[in-house]
Amino acid sequence: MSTINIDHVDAGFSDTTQASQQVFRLGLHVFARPGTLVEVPSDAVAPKGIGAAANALLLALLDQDVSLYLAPQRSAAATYYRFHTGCTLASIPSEADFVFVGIEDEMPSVETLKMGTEYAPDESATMVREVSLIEVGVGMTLTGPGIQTETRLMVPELDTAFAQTRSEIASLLPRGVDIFLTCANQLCGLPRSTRIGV
Amino acid sequence: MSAVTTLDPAINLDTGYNFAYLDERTKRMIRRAILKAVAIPGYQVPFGSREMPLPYGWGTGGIQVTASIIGRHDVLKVIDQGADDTVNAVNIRRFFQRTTGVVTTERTVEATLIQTRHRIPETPLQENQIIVYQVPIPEPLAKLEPREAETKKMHGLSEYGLMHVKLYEDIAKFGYIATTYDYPVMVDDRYLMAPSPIPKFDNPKMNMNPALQLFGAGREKRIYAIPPYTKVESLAFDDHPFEVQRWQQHCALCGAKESFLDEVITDDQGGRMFLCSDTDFCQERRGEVASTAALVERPLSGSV
Repeated sequence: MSTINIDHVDAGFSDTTQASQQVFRLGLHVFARPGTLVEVPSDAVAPKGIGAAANALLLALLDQDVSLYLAPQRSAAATYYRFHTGCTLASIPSEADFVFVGIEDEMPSVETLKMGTEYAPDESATMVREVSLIEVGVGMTLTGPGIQTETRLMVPELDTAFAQTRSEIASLLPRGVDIFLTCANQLCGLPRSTRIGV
Repeated sequence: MSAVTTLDPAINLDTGYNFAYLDERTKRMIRRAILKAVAIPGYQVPFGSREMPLPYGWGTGGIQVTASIIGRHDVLKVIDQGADDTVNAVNIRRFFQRTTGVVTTERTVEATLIQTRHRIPETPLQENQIIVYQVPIPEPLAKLEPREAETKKMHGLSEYGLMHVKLYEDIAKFGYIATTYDYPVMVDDRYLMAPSPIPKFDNPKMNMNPALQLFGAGREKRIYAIPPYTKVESLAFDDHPFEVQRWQQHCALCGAKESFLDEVITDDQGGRMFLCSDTDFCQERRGEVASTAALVERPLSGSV
């Protein structure tokens, strides 16, 4: 394995213990309440093309027990997460525990990701999807656990093709993929249990 | 005087341990398991349960879940059978005071994080709260089917006929469903779930609760969850609907009619009294009736 020149690796959290707890807690909040938007404080210097919220979430959840998929051109980010978390890197999205997709990255088709089995649906991928805008109160309707009646969410990158694929894999529940949506320092959750209507 | 007490970190914080006792890698593993548990309501996520400084059966699952989510700004309440001042609750509360330095409380309304053994507080929980249950047997089918490979299949296929047969056998034998605690529930119409040994009196509180409910089983190494506003239905039959316990008596201290009552033997002459199991609820009610003196009289367990 090639050695990492740490002069070229940006800083992670200054206080890993407290920062990880805060970021996880926000991640837990948005997964438990899909369609809620929170702002993630983070003092880590995110790799280029990765927003502060997505970066903080990856730093908080990754370690040597899990694998991460990044688009091939994100080699600096790959070094950054290898160095700070010790995670392994997956060469294809279908083998990864965590999949990061940036705004300009090609979105891997959700049904190709790890979805677990009927007996172990938890052995599935978590996607962190950076998007250009997250707007709450307009757009597709969300219902299901964590939502009192219904809520609305508008994300330009999650188009009708995505909604179509998502409703197809919804028939495979409890197998599925859980998604964190991030936009700069904003974070929003879209776990598999959320039902999406147009 | 408030029931909230802050521990002086300079004196009591145990600096020999990481924040909240567990190491960071263990916390991350548990955090990832919790996120999956929330995404799949009612499904039991396996996790690498650690050895804790107290034996299995004393709430090690709940403690590990709490340790993985607790932050400096949390206000922690710990109850054991509804009471804040019983040995399990006092010890767990002190454990987190010493390893995190967080503020603790006995009042349900002031807590952001509530760890519980076998009760849900009578005071309705709020949106910003998380309740962590200590679970001895997470598998609702365990007593009916001891083979885990089989129960996994049953959950995978949502095949829960066995549990209905068990409840039916109660009716055939006693004329009613005799299960009074750990009464099985269906979560989001998909997974059969053990609510932990709470009295079935508390089951209706789980349904569409605004708070996030997390369950930790240390010995059995499972974590599961009910997100806020999730449908939780106690199993029943059309002609034998689900019913909760009712009492002829009122609480002898606060006069409550609607709370879960404990029967306390007072002498060897057959004397007995009924008291609220939820000590905070009972005190708040007495505070309303008389004065706030009732709250002040009580020694604050936060100041250990």
